Amino acid sequence: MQQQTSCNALQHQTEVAPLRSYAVTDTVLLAAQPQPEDWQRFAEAGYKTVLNIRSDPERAAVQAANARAAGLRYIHAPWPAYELEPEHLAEFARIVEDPETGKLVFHCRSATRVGLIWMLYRIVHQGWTREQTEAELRAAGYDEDAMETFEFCAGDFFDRAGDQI
Amino acid sequence: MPHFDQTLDVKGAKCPMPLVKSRKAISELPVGQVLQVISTDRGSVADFQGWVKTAKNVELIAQETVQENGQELYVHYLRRTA
Repeated sequence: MQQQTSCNALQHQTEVAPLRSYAVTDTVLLAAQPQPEDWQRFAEAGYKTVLNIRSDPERAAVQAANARAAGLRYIHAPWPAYELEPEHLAEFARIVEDPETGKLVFHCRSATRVGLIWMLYRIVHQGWTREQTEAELRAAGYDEDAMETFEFCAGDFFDRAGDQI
Repeated sequence: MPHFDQTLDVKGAKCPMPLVKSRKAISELPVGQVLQVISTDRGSVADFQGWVKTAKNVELIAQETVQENGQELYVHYLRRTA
């Protein structure tokens, strides 16, 4: 193996990928990292709230200003990617079920983590079977790589949190 | 390249799999030992930086990018601290 360049130098490249999104319902859009031009598009499409679960507070502060300038509500909830807990799901349930939320854009970096949380929300808070929620995510456009990630990470969640839910 | 005690290969895995697998692997290491994680997910760079800001038992020692057979690999070195 040969060292090529620092990871920091490449990090910004992940921030400018085209928006990838999955409309799981008429009112919930699961999305990858939005770009500045996306906020106005969300507002024009009737979305009212943006929920960002990425960890970086500086990025979130910039996004919040841009989203609010477009007329959107903005919520930053930096839930850990490495260890999702039942309280994070409960917080998500409160947000998504709050009438004030309206149509929701729910985003992380690649749209995979939000898909996982949506899957767990359907199962834990709405009583769906895993097969039902997998079908919903596939219908929204998630591929088999994403489904494999959901399966592994959902298994990890239930292994750790099984007796709390 | 920093010294490391164990390697976790998560090539092909995408967020949050590298993090979840690393969390499991580091929990099985003795305190003080270093885990080398090899990923193909470019986003893992920011993901690991974000992880160590909130995790209580992990320190990110170094990150590097290497090429192997024309493929970019993102290599992370994590020490278990507690």
